[in-house]
Amino acid sequence: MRARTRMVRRSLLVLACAWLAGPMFPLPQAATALDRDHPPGAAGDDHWGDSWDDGWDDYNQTILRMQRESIASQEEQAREAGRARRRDEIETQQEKSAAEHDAYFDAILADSQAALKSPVGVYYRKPGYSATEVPGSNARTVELGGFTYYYDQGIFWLQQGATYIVVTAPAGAVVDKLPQGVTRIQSTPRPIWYFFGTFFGEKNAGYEVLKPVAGLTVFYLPDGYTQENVNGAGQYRFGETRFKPVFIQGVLAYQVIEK
Amino acid sequence: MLRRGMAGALLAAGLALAAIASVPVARAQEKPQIEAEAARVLTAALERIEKATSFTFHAEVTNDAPLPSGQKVQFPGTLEVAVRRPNGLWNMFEGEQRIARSWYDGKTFTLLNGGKNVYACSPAPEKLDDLLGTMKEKLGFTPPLAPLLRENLVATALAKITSGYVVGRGVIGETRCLHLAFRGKKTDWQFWISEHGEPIIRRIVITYKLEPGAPQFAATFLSWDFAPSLSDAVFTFTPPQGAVQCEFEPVMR
Repeated sequence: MRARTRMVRRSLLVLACAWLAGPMFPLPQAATALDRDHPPGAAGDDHWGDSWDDGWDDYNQTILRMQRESIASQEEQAREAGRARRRDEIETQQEKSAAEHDAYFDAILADSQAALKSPVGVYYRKPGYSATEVPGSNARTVELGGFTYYYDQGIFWLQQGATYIVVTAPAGAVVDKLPQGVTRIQSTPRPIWYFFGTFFGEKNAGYEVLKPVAGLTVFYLPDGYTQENVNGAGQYRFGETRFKPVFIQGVLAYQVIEK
Repeated sequence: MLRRGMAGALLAAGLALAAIASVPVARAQEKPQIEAEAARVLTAALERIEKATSFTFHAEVTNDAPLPSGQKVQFPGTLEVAVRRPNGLWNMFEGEQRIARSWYDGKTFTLLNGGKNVYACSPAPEKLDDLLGTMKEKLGFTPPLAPLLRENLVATALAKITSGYVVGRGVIGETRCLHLAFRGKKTDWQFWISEHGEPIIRRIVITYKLEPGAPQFAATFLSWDFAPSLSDAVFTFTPPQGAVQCEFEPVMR
């Protein structure tokens, strides 16, 4: 009994000493040729690092920053909306073809690609496009200036007789949701989104088509723009909006200009 | 009883001493820790570039782009560069997102977006080194791999490295290379430098470790020419037919 007590005390003493000494003297890490922990170097200007950053801060920098900062929530909403939409369609259909199955995954990929550059694979119809069918089953009607527009996935249609024609988005129209593939313009006091030549701002519980002010900058122009030469300077026109090209940190962009 | 008590104390002391003895002596050091071999090889390779009055290279490059969702996408491209010191630079980049060319002739720097046929010109310093030193501040960007084009390449590189070592040996293309890894304050770099003959950089990987997702830029050099024949025409810009001229947006401060 006594011997056991002494042994227990001795063990506790050893453990206590080891516990106390442990934090002051950490055991060495196993090092391999590929995993060595080098201590940080001296502080100070990292011109070499800045220079290598310069190598990174090339033409891709602005696109990278814009994409990272702009469409986080819309991107996820768009992908989830696409997936949900497709899931519903597949579930309700009795027969699924292999082509439809492939199209589902292509749509998912297209949604991701929309976040990387000017939207590709995202639903878009340029002004002047006509169809004989009523725009999509999810199209909403928008009354403005005595006209009834159909709004479907960022595109505005007008009925002319038996056909439906795509028109540029009318300023002042209010819609319930932003289209898939929309990007948010940075450096504006209030949120403004851009989708193929259309600028949206928040309005109550929805979004209003804005007449863009000079200086707004976007990184792609929609299909359907025209190029003009005004006083020797190249300009681009889409609907009532004029853009001028400009390089921002080496990346080509387009700025809204006054008429 | 006393001996047993002392034995317990000695045992504890011995354990503590054993722990002390096994600890590495060095903690954080102010001085950069660069293996001699790594420093020697890197210096030799960078000197080869620094001392060349003219050179060209052709590289395959990749750029990581982390998306807001966290997914990381990589964009490949090709890069061709021609340098003629002290005042000539031409480069051409063709990638998934853009096609860009630039010219510098000692007076003007011109950037052309080949895909959209839009270009901009900016007055430039007389020397290439001054152009590269002021471009970031004035135009907001520099050409790809600009640090390799500077005159004081070796001194700048070694001064800013905080640690470096030889990782091992690898093969890039058909060239056996020494694989080196270096760390800096904001970026980490890896070099693959040919092991036999002249020390030539065959591959560079730059890790932007402070950026979300730690994206990487990588360049695999398909060819180098340290004695090219470069005429003035190489560095002179002629607007393509139908090209639209625009401006460089001033850098916001």
